[in-house]
Amino acid sequence: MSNKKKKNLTPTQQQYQDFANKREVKRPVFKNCIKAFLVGGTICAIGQGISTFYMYFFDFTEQTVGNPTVATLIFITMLLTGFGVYDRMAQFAGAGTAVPVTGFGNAVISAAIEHRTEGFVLGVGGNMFKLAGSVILFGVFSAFIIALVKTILIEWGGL
Amino acid sequence: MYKKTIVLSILLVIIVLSGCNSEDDNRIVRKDSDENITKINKQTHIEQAITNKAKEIIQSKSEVTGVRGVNTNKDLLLAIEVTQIEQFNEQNLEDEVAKSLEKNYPDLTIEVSSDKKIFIELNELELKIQEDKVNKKELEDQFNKIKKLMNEQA
Repeated sequence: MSNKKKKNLTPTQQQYQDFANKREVKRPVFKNCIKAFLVGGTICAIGQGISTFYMYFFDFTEQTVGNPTVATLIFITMLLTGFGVYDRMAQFAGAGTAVPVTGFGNAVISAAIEHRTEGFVLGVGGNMFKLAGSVILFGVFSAFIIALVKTILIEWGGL
Repeated sequence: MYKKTIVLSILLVIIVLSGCNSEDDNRIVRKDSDENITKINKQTHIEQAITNKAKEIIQSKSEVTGVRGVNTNKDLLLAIEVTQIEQFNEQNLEDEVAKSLEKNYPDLTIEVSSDKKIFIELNELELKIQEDKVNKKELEDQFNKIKKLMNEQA
């Protein structure tokens, strides 16, 4: 609560605030960071392994290997989410599982599973991008803006 | 307990097998932490002396840790490996290397890549040339394939 609001509280309320603050369980930020780092790092290492696999056995260069790697990672996440494993991992690791692309996959798929009972069109179709829609929108929109800026710079800026 | 033993023994077998399964490599290989260079020491359909010379020139740069390359009569393809920190700057390094080589070989088309894939492919092609497993036609085909990969856009 902000300091401004605190001044308007009655003495009893202030007393309660102090009481609550004392008993509130401290968030183990540092420990969470370590967990997120380790699990997120493991996911990225797996991704790197998949990239290297595609480079050794298929005709992908470092430039183009990103697409199949992301697809594979999201596919694995899809299975893990369906079996309920990914949720357990996310409980343990927090941001470590949410920040890599697997977190995005999990957001889409868990929403799709959750709304299956409401039918395929209005349920799954309507709610699948409930969480991830903003990510897609933001990505597409910012890409559009950047493309505009680049076009203007190249066409008239002489870059 | 039983399971543990089985898993451990399987792991051991895999480690031993993969450790002993090293390929024959008849190229001249110099390998340590800041140098990874191979040279084809054989008369082949297409003389690789240009590549061998170019590799020496590139390897003298401190940022470059590994070089692979193949040349034909008109073109020279090279793949470089750079130190971790220089990865941010590898595109510039490619140009730099290409420019410095163009001075030495003005009549060759030189293409330099820092892509891992190109490195793998050139390494394989080098091995094949060393073992004399390719004829001139196949060599050209492979060469063109790598060239195409190099110019692929994401």
